[in-house]
Amino acid sequence: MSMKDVVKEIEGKVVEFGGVVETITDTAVFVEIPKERVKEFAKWLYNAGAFLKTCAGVDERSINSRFAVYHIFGLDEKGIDVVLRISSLEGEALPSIASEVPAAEWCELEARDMLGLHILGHESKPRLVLPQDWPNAVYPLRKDVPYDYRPPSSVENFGKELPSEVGLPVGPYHPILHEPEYFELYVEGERVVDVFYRGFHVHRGIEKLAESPRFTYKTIPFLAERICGICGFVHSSCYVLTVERAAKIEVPERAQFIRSIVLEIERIHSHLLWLGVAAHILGYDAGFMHIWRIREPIMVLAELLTGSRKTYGINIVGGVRRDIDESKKKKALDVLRNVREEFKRFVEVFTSVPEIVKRATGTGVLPKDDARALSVVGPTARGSGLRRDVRKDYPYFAYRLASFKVPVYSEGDNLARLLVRVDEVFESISIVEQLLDALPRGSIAVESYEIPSFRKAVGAVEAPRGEDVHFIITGHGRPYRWRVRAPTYQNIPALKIMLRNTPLADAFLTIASIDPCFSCTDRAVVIRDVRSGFRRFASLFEGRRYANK
Amino acid sequence: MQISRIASPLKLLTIALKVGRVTKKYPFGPPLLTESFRGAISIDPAKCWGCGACTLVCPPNALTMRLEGEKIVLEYFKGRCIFCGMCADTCPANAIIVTKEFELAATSVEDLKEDVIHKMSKCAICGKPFVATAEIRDVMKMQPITEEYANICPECRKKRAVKAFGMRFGAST
Amino acid sequence: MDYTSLALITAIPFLVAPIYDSIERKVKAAIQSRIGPLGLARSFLQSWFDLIKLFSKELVLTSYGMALITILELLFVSITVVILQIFLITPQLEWVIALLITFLSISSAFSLIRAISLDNPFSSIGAFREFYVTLAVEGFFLSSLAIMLLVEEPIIIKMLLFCIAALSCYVLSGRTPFDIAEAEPEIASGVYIELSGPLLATTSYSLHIRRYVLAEILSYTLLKLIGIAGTGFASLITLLLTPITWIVLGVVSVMLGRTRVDVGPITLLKVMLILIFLMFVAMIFVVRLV
Repeated sequence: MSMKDVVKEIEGKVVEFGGVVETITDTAVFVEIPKERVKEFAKWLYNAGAFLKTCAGVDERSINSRFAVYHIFGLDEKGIDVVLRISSLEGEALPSIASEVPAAEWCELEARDMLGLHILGHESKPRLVLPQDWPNAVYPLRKDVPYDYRPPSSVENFGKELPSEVGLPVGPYHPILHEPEYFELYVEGERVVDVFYRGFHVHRGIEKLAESPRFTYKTIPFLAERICGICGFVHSSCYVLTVERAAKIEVPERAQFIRSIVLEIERIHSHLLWLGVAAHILGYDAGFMHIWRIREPIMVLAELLTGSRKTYGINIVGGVRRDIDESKKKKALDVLRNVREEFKRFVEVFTSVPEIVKRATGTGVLPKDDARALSVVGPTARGSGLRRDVRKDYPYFAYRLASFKVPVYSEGDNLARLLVRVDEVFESISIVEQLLDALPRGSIAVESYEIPSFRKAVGAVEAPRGEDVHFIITGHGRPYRWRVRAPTYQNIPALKIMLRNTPLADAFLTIASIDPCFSCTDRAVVIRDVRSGFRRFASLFEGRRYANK
Repeated sequence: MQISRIASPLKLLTIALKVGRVTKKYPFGPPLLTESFRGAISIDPAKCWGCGACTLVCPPNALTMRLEGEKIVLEYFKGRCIFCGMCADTCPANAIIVTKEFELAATSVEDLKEDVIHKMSKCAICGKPFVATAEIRDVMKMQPITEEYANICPECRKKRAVKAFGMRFGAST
Repeated sequence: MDYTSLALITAIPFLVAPIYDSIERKVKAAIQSRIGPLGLARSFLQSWFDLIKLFSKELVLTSYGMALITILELLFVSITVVILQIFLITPQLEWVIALLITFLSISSAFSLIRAISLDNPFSSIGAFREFYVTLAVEGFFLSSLAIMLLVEEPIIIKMLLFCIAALSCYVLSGRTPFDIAEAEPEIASGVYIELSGPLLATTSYSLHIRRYVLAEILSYTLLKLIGIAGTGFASLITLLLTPITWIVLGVVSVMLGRTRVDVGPITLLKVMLILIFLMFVAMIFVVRLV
């Protein structure tokens, strides 16, 4: 079925449900659905093979005096995004689609917390994003709350949410967590039966900050780059991609190539970093040292190409700021050849260490159906047999011109996720080589551009951890609303399934196996798992209650 | 086959032997930077106009401008700098260059701040200080035609233009 | 033998154990492509420097019993190493062997007690892991050691006994893959989690001496296997062989990852049982031959 037919079918369905099609672009269809029938429509989309990317609550009172929720679906096979808009007046209730699409729960809770929307079915759930001591009627993402508002802290509100039983605390500070996050594992002997999880300790309000007068379209890429310490370039790329889509800016081809090259270099270093950390978690410190030794030339290469080892700072709307000349290109090809050789030799050793193979096999299993229902992304999805990769499904930048494989393993265990990453390192090296060879001539940035107001766009970039989604409504001088959905956000709910019946020793590897990046996600929820598997997608909060029955 | 698999972890020794020790004896030995590294910026006070273009593009507000009596102070605070180099790209006077300096630790916050102080020019009509002297000087050099009104503050310039406009149409003042 | 040389020979382990540990660290660093402790003095004395530094830190006691047990652990492991040195000088005295084996078991019991005496979930998990590992090897280790030291047996049985002893020495020395009681990235250093400053120094000093004991026992049994044990010359060789054994154990540990509590001890038990079974077969074979 061609793209046109798909769009036609969606249009037909929208009309059937009494909605209107707002705009159709090359990559997305924006529709408005009456809120009473959104559940049915979401169900239809979900059954048609769409993955829920995220949803975004928006305070549109200054435009049309309503609050809106945008549910962003992606039809992976067709490469098109479908954005559903539902809206309500202040105080009116909005339906939840979490019962049809389980992956929607987190973002709906976030919209409830940050905008004070009344979303049916989520009333009794504890706070997701806001801390316990946040005052009751203050909703930070509403436009009337100043961006630098600091509420008074009241310590007595803390601790209300914690469960009465005390399990094994992992966090907020723990050797395997590089960022503050709190897990509480309930164990029987050395088997994990349940987990309690609280996060959002490092929420930085970046979305709000970007809407403030402190920032403009030009400076936000640098802010976006700081969402994540490891895959920052993904966020800045995704931001500029989304803005360029919204404003229909034609970016020079050379800039597209340079962005893709740097993105792949970032993926190589991120995967090598993770493999080293995984080796360290498994007690194989020699693996940690050697993989990071192999990674070092990649970091130096990144510095050579961009000017910085991390947070490259070369993305601007309309292009890039640093060019790749012939001598850099030659050096880059040399480095990549060496890294491939060394990594190949070391992987052979690494994957033959008996403890690594033994401990990664069969632990932290995520079955394919669960992976589908939770719309997990990246190596987590590919390790569970889902062939999802934004680079293939929604080609952006120069990926259309590179040939590469998407490694998929069907076992769904830690070893599968590990091997996906190993394979991807080789694929990425080959992509960078191809793109460097085919680097076209021309300028690296557009001279000038204009960004009209109130255009909407969705952009997605494949981060090392999975699909990173940005949604933008443009405004004057800066975005009206900028929604960031980091890949870990989508993968954390899958941990409750992975951790079920995992040996305690491997629970830590399992947590690490989604390559969590907590401060870019910065979102968390109480996940309580049910040992028996009863009511698997029951509300995330109710698990233990059912288990006790 | 099985034996070679079991013996495979031993290959670590051959790899280690071949690679040798890679730890660098920082800070001894040659610098570890590449040619494109971006470090702290350095502002050349002789070239700087004090126009403040850099403060507008600086994402983390590391460059700020403030008035101190009859002086304009451009402050560079390294503690905030993200070393993106946007200021160097923007500077119309090419006064900012990106250095390779990265060992910036200091024992007090004040040591991380650098000030470029500009004297302000007084308006030829009302006598209020309104812009950095260096800016007027360089603008006049670049565009000699501005010479006759460059030393007048925008307020007075506006008044003068209104007056000239009025005179042309026969206003009595 | 006069008392000066006796004092000297019993003092050796207390001085050299941290030095051997420093050398092990240096060798490990080389395998991991690092430099490790920098400079000549640090190459040999880094662990001593660490101990001194830890001793100079403030004392934090989460419970008073813990301090006592930590000191007792050091005391018993020290007695063990003294007896081991006496045994090295006079290998023919059977009561020394009996004492040695007794104190070996007491000192390992104390390190278990230290681990479970703490009221910390991570420490408890680590303690239980240590239990499993110790249970899997301790009995085999002590009995095979006793047989080897007290009885003269045919070479084939001697070899099997040596295998058991060597494997046990490796496991009990707490190196990867059997450092599951410590497991820093998993359970935040498990049994050591509540220790800091002087207490941590005491515990790690005990660990150094314990490793010395095991390395020396392994060296001695190796000589016994070759058949040259029992002379003054052999004692000297044992002393010289100990650092080499120590470092070989360290090098093996670099190439392996950490095992899991439901995999490692059971595998160990299986290996031990296979070795014992082989020994029985060998015994029957030897008896029929005679």
